[in-house]
Amino acid sequence: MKTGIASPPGFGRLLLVYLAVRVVMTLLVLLNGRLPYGDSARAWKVSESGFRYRVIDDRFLDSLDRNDSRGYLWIASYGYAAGEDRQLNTAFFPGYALVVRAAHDGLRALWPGGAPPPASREDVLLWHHAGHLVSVVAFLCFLLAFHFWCRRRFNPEVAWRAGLLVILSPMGFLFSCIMSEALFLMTAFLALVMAEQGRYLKAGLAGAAAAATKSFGGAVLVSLMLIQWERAKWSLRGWGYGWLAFLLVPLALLGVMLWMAELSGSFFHYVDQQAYFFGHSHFPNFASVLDLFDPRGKTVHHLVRDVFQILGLGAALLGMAVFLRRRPAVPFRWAHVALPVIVLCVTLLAGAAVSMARYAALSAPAYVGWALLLDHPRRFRIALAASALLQAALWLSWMNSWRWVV
Amino acid sequence: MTWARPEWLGLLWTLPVIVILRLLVGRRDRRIVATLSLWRRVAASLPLRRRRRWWPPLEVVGEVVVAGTMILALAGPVLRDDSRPAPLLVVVDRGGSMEAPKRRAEWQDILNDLAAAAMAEGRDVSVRPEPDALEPMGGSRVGGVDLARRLAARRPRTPRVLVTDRRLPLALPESVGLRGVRSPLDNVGIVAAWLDRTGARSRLHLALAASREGAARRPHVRVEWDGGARVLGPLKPDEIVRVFDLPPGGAVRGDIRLELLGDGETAWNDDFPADDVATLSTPPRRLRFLVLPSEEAFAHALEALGETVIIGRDPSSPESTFAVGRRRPPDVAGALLLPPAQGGAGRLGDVVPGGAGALVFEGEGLAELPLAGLKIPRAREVSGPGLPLLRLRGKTVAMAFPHRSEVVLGFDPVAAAWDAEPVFPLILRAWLGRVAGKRSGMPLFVAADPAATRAEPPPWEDRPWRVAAQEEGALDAGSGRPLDRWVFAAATAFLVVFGALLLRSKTL
Repeated sequence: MKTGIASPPGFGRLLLVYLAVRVVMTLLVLLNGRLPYGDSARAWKVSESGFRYRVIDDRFLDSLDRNDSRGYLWIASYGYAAGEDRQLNTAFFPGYALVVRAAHDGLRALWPGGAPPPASREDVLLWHHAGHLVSVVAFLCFLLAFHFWCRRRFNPEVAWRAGLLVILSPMGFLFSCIMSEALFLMTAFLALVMAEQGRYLKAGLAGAAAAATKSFGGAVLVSLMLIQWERAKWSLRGWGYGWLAFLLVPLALLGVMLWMAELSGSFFHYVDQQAYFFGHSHFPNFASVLDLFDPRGKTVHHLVRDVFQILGLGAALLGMAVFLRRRPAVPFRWAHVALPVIVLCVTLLAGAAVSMARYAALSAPAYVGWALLLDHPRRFRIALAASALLQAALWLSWMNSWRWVV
Repeated sequence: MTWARPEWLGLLWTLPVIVILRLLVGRRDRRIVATLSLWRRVAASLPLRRRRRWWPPLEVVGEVVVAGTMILALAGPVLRDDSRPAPLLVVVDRGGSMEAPKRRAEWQDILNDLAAAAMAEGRDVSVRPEPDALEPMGGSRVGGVDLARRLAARRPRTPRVLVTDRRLPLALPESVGLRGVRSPLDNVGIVAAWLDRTGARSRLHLALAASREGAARRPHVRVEWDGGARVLGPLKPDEIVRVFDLPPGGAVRGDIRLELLGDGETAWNDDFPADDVATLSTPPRRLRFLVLPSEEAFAHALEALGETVIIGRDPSSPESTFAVGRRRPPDVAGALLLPPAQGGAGRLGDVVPGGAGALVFEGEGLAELPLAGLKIPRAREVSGPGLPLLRLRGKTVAMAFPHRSEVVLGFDPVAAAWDAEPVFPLILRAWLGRVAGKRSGMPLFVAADPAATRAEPPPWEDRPWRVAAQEEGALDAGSGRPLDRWVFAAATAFLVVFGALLLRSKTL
């Protein structure tokens, strides 16, 4: 296996690549010019669905603030609000928002020269800085853990290629946006790695954090149990008591649901809100699965969007298949694949097929599979260049709210 | 010592839990070796042996120290200063018409007045909400009022004032001061719009509202769709919805943008520009609803909006029962149940007598539309774990159940002659939208806050904040010496040192 590089670069080089990608992302924001919600002479904008948006006086931070970002920032700053004339915004899990709130408090306290004065530009943008910081730090933590895990399980070549694929994947820009994907990726992956090493408590805590970040984070429990089962040589004997720490995962899920029940009076309020805000009310929704693959009656816009969702799903499944079939077999491979497979199935059957590409990007073993598949240097460079170009295009789509994908 | 954000202190309970779990669970690495004596010799020769002995307890201590200092820093420690009175907390309602330039200037003057009054008493002033850039999702008048209510419960000893232009009565404690923002606004805005897509035609329904000062103005509306544009008007606001063919002889596809104009070409100019534009998004696919029992009026109203109606012939038939339950066919977006339909999520109760002026529409948007002419002769009360949609004499007579995708009505709108009203499809669509999903692609626009468009000044009178004798000396953020900067710095330093030790001790 030749790559053209005598000694595969380490994590430091990956960090440099990530920084370079962020610079290019920033340049694209500047070259793009006016954004849909920023740079307006008017103080308020009204989105397609009637939401009002405040213009943000920072084009780069504004570009990171799309899709669910405003929901997370709202929960971070105000909590789950219940008004007499509106519903609770409990369509989002609170993990990411709570970490952003903590980061905001930290930034405020550590701001050079004291907390920024009220209503100053810095004060206005501090929540966005906090959201951005949490996503970037979480992604870099994931990248660090992922890189060393790949080095140990495979070799430095595979670790380098898989790291590059994560950074330059088509949806890679999402891990720097004010979204919960990076935090979920980090916590879920760390939970599995910790469980592999027998660090039960840390695995349970990380899994609980993942469950509090995304509703499908509860699926981490399945992967943790699979790891424990494999550690016991696929036997139900010799499990010990350490695995009981994994129960922190369902406990976290239960805690979030009880919290929402306390606010709303309904234990299933999250489900109701998903139905209200996003139309996910018919789980399992097989019709939406069929609709994803049915081109009839779709506009060009929807057709392109759905094709991309299918490609994202296919790429994730192919990558994971390669990962599974690798010989010699990777220890705990079923546990690593189980989590993203559950996530993708839940997404499909919840009628959220438009989020398929976004959640396919959370499939860590798929990156490894593609790194194994693209072992020829030329093929790898071509694939990486194509992926990077696609990421640039999707980044432009994201910041302009064209909604080609997300 | 006190705390600016004591809600974080609850996390301290996690520390003993971590220690106890570490003691109980521990870390046991199981290694299978062929020869124990050989393995012991190899292990004894490892240079890391001493470090491995002291690392596990140090790791627990490190975890507790890092987590503990981080939690304490988040809780915002403040060195108490009893010589100063409690600070004044000013909560500003930051939504809707409060952002109109005239009203913004007024409430900023009010803030200056309050700051001067507080400083005259030796108080500091804290203004909330801090995140100036954020706007509540979906609604716009929630931020300040909700925040004031929650802060009133959380910090009962802190003197507080709410600055708002909200008209509705406020359920706030008497001790909370009120300052009204009353600048008149010359404003006209779009509050509702929807498409009637019967057959091949697309007809636009539009509702404008105006403030008292803007009621005499007659704006034009530019309607722009994929492949065409048209200017309508001049239109009279605050009247029943107008209907136009759009475009003549064909159906509209894609999004439709609406914008107020002056005389057909010049830009519209008023005191509150946020409601001068709106966008209708047309759905990629048609939705299907089940209506029980069958009513032609509902079929027409829903089909006009682009949905397909499935008729349930008999509420007790196996087909209908199958469709109303959780196993409804997946391509059906929701169901509308009329009395006497049973088997849904709601329960029908006592008869409520009707009458003029007794109806209250719940939810965003509808309450501010011109619905005063609607009446119900009588209805039955609906109860259950749902969202109230309509109240008659204080009793809920229509309710949405999003988890079941059902809307249950305790009255028959056709018998009440609602189907002849131009706003009937809008009401029906808004109600079904509560169960079909807000982002299901409805060809409907309802402003998040029509009250902001009308911009009527609050009818209540201003009142000062009250501070009882025992409240003096109560501490809030800003009235002492904050220490969180140093504790955060310490927590960060601990984290970096501990992280470095962790990386050196074990590889991932």
